[in-house]
Amino acid sequence: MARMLSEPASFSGFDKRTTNNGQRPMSKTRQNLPHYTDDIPFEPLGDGNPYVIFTQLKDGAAYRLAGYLDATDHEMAIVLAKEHYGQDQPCTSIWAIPRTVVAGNSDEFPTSSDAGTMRAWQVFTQAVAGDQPVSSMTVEATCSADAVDAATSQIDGAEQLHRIWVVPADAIIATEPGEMIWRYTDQLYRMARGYSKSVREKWDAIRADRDITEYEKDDLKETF
Amino acid sequence: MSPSISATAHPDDVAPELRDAFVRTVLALADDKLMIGHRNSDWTGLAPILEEDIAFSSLAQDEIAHAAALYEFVAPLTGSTADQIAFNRSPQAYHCADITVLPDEFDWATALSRQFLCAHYEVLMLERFATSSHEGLAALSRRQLAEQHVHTRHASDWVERLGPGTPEAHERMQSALNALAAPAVALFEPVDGQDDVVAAGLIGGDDFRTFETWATTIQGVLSRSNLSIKLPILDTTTVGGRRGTHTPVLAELLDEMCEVFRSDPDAAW
Repeated sequence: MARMLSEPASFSGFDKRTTNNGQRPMSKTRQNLPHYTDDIPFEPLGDGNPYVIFTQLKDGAAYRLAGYLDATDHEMAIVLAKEHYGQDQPCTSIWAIPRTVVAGNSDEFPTSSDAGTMRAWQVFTQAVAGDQPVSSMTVEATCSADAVDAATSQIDGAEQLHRIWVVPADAIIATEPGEMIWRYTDQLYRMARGYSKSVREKWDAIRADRDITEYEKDDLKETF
Repeated sequence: MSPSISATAHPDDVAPELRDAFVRTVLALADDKLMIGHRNSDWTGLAPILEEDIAFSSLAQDEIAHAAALYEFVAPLTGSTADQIAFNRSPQAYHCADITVLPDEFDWATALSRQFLCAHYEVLMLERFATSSHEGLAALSRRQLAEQHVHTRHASDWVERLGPGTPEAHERMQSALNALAAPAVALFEPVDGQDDVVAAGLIGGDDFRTFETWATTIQGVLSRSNLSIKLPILDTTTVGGRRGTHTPVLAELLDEMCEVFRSDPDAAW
């Protein structure tokens, strides 16, 4: 974690003399930005751990897959998930799950048959490819393979589902009740519906303008 | 979605002899927030990791939104508008502490340490505003406090990870803190007339207790993180940000920040 931050790769291989490229920069502060002279390194950087993030949009509702992020540890995963996925839309709660503990009937998250102690597993189901996986029941099992089997036998029409994931319930890192706050300033522009609303208003205004122009043409024709 | 909270003061809310000092007291915090929000927004696209880029940008946006709401609040007491207050003052009329104005030279340890020191200060000031006898200011500040606590946790979490991190991370954090110690203490310079504003209950708490609480809080986080800060005594003969005496950097910052506004000061946005 600290290595990545103390040696930001984006700052190595820079040459301060070759700024601007003749273009007008966005900000005077950025005029002093170093500019790449070497190839950007390809190797993955840092020692962050991958997390899978689920968000809950209403109290009591299922948790839906929001996306992934890298974080140094569990607490930072929640802190960063709140800013990243918690600001796309109002959420009541966030789950961050280490990617390494997710198992399921798909190649990206293989199951294990190594039996441990009996524990609770949170089940997530994905109806069809492209849908978001959503939280469903919990099952008791000693390994992830058994947990998937248990979920499959308990869910009606499990064979129709595209995917079933299981996660040890105690591996889920959750926000505290009341921890999620929606910013009090207008954040509508961050959301697709906010964007489409303002675009629609602009289109309506343009169309209305055009209709009036057309109407005036006809009007003039009749008059003269 | 929580409803937006906005509050505006009415000139009759504040006794005439206290009005200017009250405005200055609110502007001190609002100006701090505007400047640090502006500085931190420069990191958009440049923060060390993607997730932090998103988070730091989001927090910078909060700071500017908080400043805007506080400008809206005081505007009726000044006969001006929030936009004019934000963008159309001479540097001497800004009451920010200069720690919020200093360039961070794109050193992440500097940006983060400043955010850490200032965010903890802002929490305490908002808590004092939240107990204001002015109900509008109190309600607005309570709402901002919820977001401000997100800022302090975010900054403290990073300090707690970088301080005990690699030798380089530790050294860079410590040298940033060393450089920021004196400017940080200058956050506590009072504006002219602040005592009267406090005595009238227009903001709660008291200045010395605020400093003590801040110092204890940041020392606690820093000592957990293998870091330290030596806080000098506030010397009001050399410090003047709250009274309008600023480093020339503020004028440069304003030239840049206000460029669009000045191109058409009366434009409706």
